[in-house]
Formats: sequence, structure tokens, C-alpha cells
Amino acid sequence: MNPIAELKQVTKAYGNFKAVNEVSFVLEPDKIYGLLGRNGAGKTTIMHMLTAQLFATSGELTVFGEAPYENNRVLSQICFIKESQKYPDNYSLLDVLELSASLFPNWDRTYANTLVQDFQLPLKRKIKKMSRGMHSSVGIIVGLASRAPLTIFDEPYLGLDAVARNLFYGHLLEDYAEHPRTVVLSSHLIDEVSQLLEHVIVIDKGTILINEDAELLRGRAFTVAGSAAEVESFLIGKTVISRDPFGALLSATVDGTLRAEDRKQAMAKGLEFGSVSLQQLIIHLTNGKTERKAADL
Amino acid sequence: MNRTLSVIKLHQRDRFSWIFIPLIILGSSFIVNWLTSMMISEDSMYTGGIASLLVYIFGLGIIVVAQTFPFAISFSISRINYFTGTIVMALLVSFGSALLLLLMSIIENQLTNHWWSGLYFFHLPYLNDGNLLVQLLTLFLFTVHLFLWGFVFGSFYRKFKKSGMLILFLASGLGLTLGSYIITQNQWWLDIWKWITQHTAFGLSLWLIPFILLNALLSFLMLRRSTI
Repeated sequence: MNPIAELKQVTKAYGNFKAVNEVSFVLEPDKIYGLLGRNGAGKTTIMHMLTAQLFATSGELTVFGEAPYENNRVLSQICFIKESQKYPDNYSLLDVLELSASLFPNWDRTYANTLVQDFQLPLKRKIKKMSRGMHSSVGIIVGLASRAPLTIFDEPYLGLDAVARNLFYGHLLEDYAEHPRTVVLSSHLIDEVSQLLEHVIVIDKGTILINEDAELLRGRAFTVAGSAAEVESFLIGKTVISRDPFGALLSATVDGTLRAEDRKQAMAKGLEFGSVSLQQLIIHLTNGKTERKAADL
Repeated sequence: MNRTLSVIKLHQRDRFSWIFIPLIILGSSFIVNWLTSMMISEDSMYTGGIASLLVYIFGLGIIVVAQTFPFAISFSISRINYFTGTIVMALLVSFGSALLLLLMSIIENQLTNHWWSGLYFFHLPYLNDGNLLVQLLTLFLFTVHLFLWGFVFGSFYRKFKKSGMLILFLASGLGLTLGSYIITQNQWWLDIWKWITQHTAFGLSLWLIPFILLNALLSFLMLRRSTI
């Protein structure tokens, strides 16, 4: 199948600083991607380049097989919702919806109206006068109702309460099941979105750290806990991501999959195993050291 | 084409900026001037009140870029579509306001004997010389020119941000000082004044066409490489 988007060695430099450094990845059709990473890692820059809002310094970037810059065949199939989207001062939600209807070929008016009711938004109030959460909901409604073949949500829920966030996740999954498309979800609420994601791309300091199927990624590490001596002997020859001693006990996170025989042996010695959440794993991988320092202080 | 229409729609939905505010500005300026003309005892009162509308159009040209360009680009509109749609919208509004100003000048001059108070607000000597078509074109070209003049500033700011703007202002300040010094040294002021006065308002407005085209071209080139 033809990829939705393809990046080859894409770099975005501001002077000497490389916000994105030789990044390559492929977005396949009809999948939900998580683009994860810390603030300033380069997530937004990548998404801006995908939509031709920023220009790459070097490298090759195609969306739907073509360069996106000034290309209506590509642009009309993309809907990009960003955290701090600015709307014209005099715009109301109704204005945004009417305009969206004329811009996105797959726009579903009925669905948009349902969403407006579910998120309980006023149609005629100026967006400028809406609360932070309502403002975010406007973007979410546009993103969902556009049904664009490539829909990108960049931290879409600033200021949204847990109820509204769940409403968003629910609608996204439900509508995605009926109208499959490629969704890129950038977020730092990793645990919340981890159940939605089929594929995870983790970016740190402008480079790709992880680019893996979400299921495989979840099995990539595990924790082991027990008495310090037993755990230490178990850890010999394994890649340890972190150690958290607690008195005579030790809990450690190990990179790698747990083999059944290992598990059997260790269980006999009274060790306990647990799975690592996506969030923990990513924190370990992107920021393990600083995290430890903070804990030691 | 389709998406250029969407850009026109994008602007049309902001009726406040494009229609109501200019009407309110022009209307309030007119009312204040009219009340004044009724209170003073002189036979006639000339005022440059329509300048308020033209100044607003200039301002609109500046702010429209900041208000709508990032929004349009985020909503998957290409830069060329944005540019074309915005220019078409500006031409429509300029034509509309030229038509309105002409209509009001006819009402003022021929139907109400200067609003029964000797007020010269819409029908001004020099500006309203020539036949109706000439007057309409003059008003239209002045309005379009002011919009695009603002638009080129707005686009410049979009492309080069604050530091670019600072350099532009310093450079133009320097240019103006230098230019006026050279003109003074060569005693050209009188010639320039003569050149201006020997033209009709319409003649001068035709001289705006190259500037209009240049400003349009510059805005386009800058917006084409602008990012968010």
C-alpha cells in the first residue's frame, strides 16, 4: 500500500540549532499514530513540515506521494488541529464550521452538529471569548468532522477536563472504526492515549528514539521486584533501565522481553513481575537520568 | 478556484472587519461633521471626513494578514489561494465603498443641497471632478491602493517579523530624510508641487496603478515564503 506520508532524512535547522535532525519515518494508511516526546522535542515542527506550514532545511518529505507545499491535492486531504490555533477575532464556532464545510471535501455537517451538542458549545459566541477548554473543543470538532484522510491533532486538549477528553477519545475511536483514516495524535498525556495508539513514534531532541508498533512496544520492557540480592542476581546480563531501591527491597525496570523460563525461575525465588506502562517506558528512554537525579535529591 | 472562493468566504464571514466597522467609522464621522455644520453659522463647511474610511482600509490591509493568514494556512489553504482570495475580497470591498461614496456624493450634491447645512463631506472639489465613471474609478483606485499598501506591510511583518519591521522603519526613515534633503538641496519641492497640481485627481489615481501592482507582487512574494 502507498504510504500516506514519508519523511527521508528530514532536517529543520534554526541557525546551529537542529529542531529536527535527519528524521525518517513512514505513515501508513488507516492507522492511529502517537507522536510522543517532551516539550520542545520537535513534534510540532515535524507536523508543521508535513502540512507545509514550515519548510524543511534538508531532506525529502512527501504526503500522499507528493510534496505538500502549495499543493491543493495534498492540502485538501489534511486537517491539522493545533493546541493554540488562532481564529480571526470576530469568528464564532458557526463561522469556523461553515468555512470548514467548504474546505474539507469529506466534511460531515450532521456529525459536526452532533459533536457541537456533545461538547456543549455555543455556536454564536465569539471563539475569542470562549474558555480555554471550549477553545480546544472547537479544534477537536473540526478535526473529527473533517474526516480528512490525514488528520493531525497536536496536543488538542489544552484546558479540557477529563470528561471532555474521554468524550474526544470515545468519538475518535468510534468514528475511526466507521471511517478509517490516518490519525496522528501528539500528546504528553501518554497513559491516557496509549490505549488508542496502534503505532508509536517517540522523538527526543529532534531525533527519533522509538518507531514501533504499540503492542510490541508494550512488551519491550518489564519490571521486577523483590529482595535486593535476588533481584541483583536476576539482573546479571540484562539491560537495566532503572533501579529503585527501597530499604532491603529493589525494583528494577529491564529492557527486553521476559522469557518464560526466566520468569519461572525467578518466581520460585519470590520475585514479582509487572508490566511497564508506555508512559514509564518513554520517560525511562527519553529522560531516565534526569529523572533519577530528581529522585535522589 | 474552488479554494480561492473559500478564502473569499473566510473573509466574508468576518462582516465586522470588512463591512460594519468601516460603515460605523464613516457614519460616525459624518454625523459629527453634520451636527457641527448645523451649529456653525458659516454658509459652507468642507471636511476631509472620508479620510477616516480610507485610513481604516489601510489599517485593515495591515491587520488582515495577522488575523487570517496563520488561520488560513492552518486550515489547509495554500498561500496562492489565500493571496488571490484576499485580493479579490479587497477589490470587491473597495469597489463597494467607492460606489457608496459616489452615491453619497450624488445625494449630497444634487438631492439634499449639502445636507441642508452646507456640509461638503462626500462631494469635494477636485476629488469629485469629472464624470461619474471617472469619479468612481478615482475612489476605487485610491481605496485599492491604500488596502494594498497596508497589505504589503502586513505581509512584510509576517515574513520578517519584528526585527525585519524595525530595519524597514529605520531604512525608510533614513531614505525619507535623505530624499527630502536632496530635494531641498536641488530646490525641487516647487516642481513636485506643480506636477501634482497640474494633474486631476483621476490623473493622480492612474499613477497609483504601478504602485498597486508592485505592492501586490511584493506581498505575494513575501507570503509565498511565509511560515507559521
